Amino acid sequence: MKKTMIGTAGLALVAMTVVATGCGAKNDANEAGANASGSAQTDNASGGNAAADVKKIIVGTGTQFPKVCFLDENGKLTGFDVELVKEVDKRLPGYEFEFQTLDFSNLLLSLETKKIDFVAHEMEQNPDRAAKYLFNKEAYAHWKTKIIVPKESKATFKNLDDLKGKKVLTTATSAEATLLETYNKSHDDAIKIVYTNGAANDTVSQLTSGRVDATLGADFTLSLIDPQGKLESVGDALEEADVQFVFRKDDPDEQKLADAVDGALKEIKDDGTLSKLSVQWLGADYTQK
Amino acid sequence: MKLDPSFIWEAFVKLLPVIPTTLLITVVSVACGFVIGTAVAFVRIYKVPVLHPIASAYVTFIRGTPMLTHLLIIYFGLPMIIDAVSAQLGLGFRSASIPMIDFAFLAFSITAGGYMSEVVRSGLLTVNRGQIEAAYSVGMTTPQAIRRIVFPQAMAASIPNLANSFIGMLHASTLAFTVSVVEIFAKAQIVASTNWKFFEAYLAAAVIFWGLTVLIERVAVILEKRMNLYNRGGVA
Repeated sequence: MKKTMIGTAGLALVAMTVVATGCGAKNDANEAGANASGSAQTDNASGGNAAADVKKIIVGTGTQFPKVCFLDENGKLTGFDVELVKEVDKRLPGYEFEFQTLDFSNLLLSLETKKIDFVAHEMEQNPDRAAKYLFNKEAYAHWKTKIIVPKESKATFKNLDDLKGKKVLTTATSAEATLLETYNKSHDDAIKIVYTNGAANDTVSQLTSGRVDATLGADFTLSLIDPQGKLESVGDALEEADVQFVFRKDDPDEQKLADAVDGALKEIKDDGTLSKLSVQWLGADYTQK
Repeated sequence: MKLDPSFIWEAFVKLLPVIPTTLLITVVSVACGFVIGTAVAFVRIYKVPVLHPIASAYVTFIRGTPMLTHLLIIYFGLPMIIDAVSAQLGLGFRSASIPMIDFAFLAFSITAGGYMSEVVRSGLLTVNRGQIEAAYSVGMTTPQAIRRIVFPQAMAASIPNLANSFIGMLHASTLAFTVSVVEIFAKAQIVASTNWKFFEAYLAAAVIFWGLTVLIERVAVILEKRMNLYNRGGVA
């Protein structure tokens, strides 16, 4: 009986892989179709002018990141990343961007299966990620990750070593989680990592009730997750990360798009628009190294 | 889209240690849910005064709201009540010392109870009323008749549906990650967070869930055969 079960499981895996590959192929076709009909429409509208070359790009983002990509009180998608992408779009006449909002962990899968063309979600680069995805060259923000503790605890953690034996809360798919895991790998699992998926929005209550001792976060996110000011960041910057857009790897069209975005981003940086956006949405200029 | 088969295997191995967590959540919630469900089913069938409308309200509320809502209500509501009561009585007990998984146990038991009460009720209804009258005629009391005659037959009839509920709760246990309990699906996200190979990790999780489901199905078949032994041929 055991043998048959393993057999069945193996068969299932093969079946799923086939289905997955099948899906990929179908999306290709769909996308090609959509693109063709898209340009045909533009053709009609503009009477076959140069505007026919405008390429539609689907930009993947989320709605759960306050001030970065979120729905405002009118239900309109906005935020630092969203407004920046709009600014890039303005400067790229050859492309027309359209937003598609998805769950964070589905963004990258959707990128791979060509449902979206690039991701704008304050994505930090790391070597593992760079091996699988294409990042554009110009970073549009720089994060300093710090330790965050409840104010009343008066804790004075300086660095990750001080967190040994402490419970540290983190979101499962975040760059902070990677940071903690990397530390634990070389330090015998010294930090007790408590994972969350963020759905309950209970970071503040977990910290203030003493369930966990600390969490990690980028310096500007503190005021976003904790508008009442019950938390504070302490210690040195644990990591400085570059934030970039994420594209599909090994795809010439995507490389072209990434280069175009880089060009526009450089302009936006040079004329001060990027810093202005950062101050407007994030409260300070986080675009300089 | 490129699939990395070796990472599916790697993720699979890393997911194995959290299987007990998933199973524990499932077994506890189904076991408690079964007790709650049976009580509710009897209350509703025998129209017990006072309790009967409460039981009906419980079932419609639970089935009428998402399971995630139950979990969040328990997770945010219960500590408030506990802390208030504790402060009032000066017990010095803080809700923060309750393990997170207990919130999942409680919330999922309440959810499972709502659904399983209907499973048990349908099982009880399959037993012909004549049987209980026959039991009375040989001098049994109502509790005796229910325990010896009605309940065994009702259970036999309910097994397929109970297995269904069990499998449903197994898959629903993934919601426990909302309150920081790391079960199989959560672990899949964690495993993939460094290299973003989510699809591979999800496939590995799917294989494990399917394997567990196959196990449950087998056990259900064995149970069904055993509990239906009384029913071998003859006049039903």
